[in-house]
Amino acid sequence: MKWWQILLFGLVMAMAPHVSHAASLPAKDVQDINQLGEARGHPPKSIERLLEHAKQAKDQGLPERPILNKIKEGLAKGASPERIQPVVRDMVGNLRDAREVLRDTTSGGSGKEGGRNSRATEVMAEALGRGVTVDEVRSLGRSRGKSRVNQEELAFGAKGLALTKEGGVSGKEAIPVVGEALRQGFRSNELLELGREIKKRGNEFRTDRNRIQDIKKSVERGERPDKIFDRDRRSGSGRSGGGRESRAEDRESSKKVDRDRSRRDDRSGKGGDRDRIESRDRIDRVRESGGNFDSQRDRGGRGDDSSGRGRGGGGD
Amino acid sequence: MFWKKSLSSMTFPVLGGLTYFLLSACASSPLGPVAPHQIEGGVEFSLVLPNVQSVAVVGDFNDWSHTAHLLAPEDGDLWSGVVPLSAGEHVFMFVVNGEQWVVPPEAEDYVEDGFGQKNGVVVVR
Repeated sequence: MKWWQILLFGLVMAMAPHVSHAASLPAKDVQDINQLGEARGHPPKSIERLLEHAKQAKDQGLPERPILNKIKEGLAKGASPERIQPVVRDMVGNLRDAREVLRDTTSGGSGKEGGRNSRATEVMAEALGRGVTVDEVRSLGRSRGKSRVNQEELAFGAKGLALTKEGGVSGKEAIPVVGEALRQGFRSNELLELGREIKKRGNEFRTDRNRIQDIKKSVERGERPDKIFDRDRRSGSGRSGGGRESRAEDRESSKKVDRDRSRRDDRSGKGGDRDRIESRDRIDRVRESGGNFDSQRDRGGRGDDSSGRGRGGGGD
Repeated sequence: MFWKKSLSSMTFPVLGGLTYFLLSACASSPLGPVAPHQIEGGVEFSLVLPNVQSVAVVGDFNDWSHTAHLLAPEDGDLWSGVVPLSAGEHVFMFVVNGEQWVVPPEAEDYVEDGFGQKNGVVVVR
């Protein structure tokens, strides 16, 4: 080997870590994260260490998107790389456990596109990160007996279970309810809705242990969350736990009326209009002119894609 | 209204996130804070906060950028704006004056962010 070949080999090896990041992670995300880190005055090495977690995830065939997003969130919120490090490390661990438990416990994929398995892994990892244990997931997976659940069903069931537990219901009490929902063929958004509604009414379930049994019976009858909790709302139950949301709903109608009445032609002058997202007035103007709301946006379209940027959205 | 004037005359660093939260929840708007909700064209976010220069909604839908979606001043102390969001769950917070992160006073759900705060959750159905 000639001297210049050795020198060239050395140069390539020295650049390897940088090249490997750029090669395996989405360039835009890496660039955004580096810029965020630089703006916050963090040493490039510390940012590189964070990106290494995302790269590890990708190399293991795990979705790297939630890791990159969490790094951006942490940096944007002013968290130091040292603070972000354990958060993303745990996320990679949860993604790994999620994939494992999904493989062990389910009949396989959802029978749809492969990308859905990645979504199932992300949703399951979130459930594990929110306090659901692998044993609880395995119990949930057995809820249909011999007919095993698929990955997506189990992942959303686990997230529904996480929400239910956050409402103060024990795993032991919650698993039969979510398991029954899986048996009844609840869709992903219904599994999440069930958990969210129980969480909102946490106080009721903590003070009345029979309440969760009532919900289970309703689910056994094939009732869906909208029916179960709509009946609750009408009977006045569910108020104590869901106060904030309910208040918001109550205020909404009066808010709309009030805004229509008090809408002004001129603006208060606080801040400029140029960079502001559309207020209700502007939406009305666009609507009246028959224009396309989205086409007038500069950056708003980011959230409008269907690439699944939402978190475990129940978008059946 | 004395309490409100007194509070709003303080500087933001002194107020801190918690006070923002309380102010948002208790400010003297006749309607109070409202959870993000779907309307035609997207999800409407709003926050009631007196004496601030800018309010942005930030979340996983805009890469946590505090310049991507600024809310517009409405009547009184109300700031609001509409963001087109895809179906599913999205986490968000508000950023006031470009630097102060505020936990949403109203949201469909809340989730720990891992950094000692809570993100609001908005569900697009």
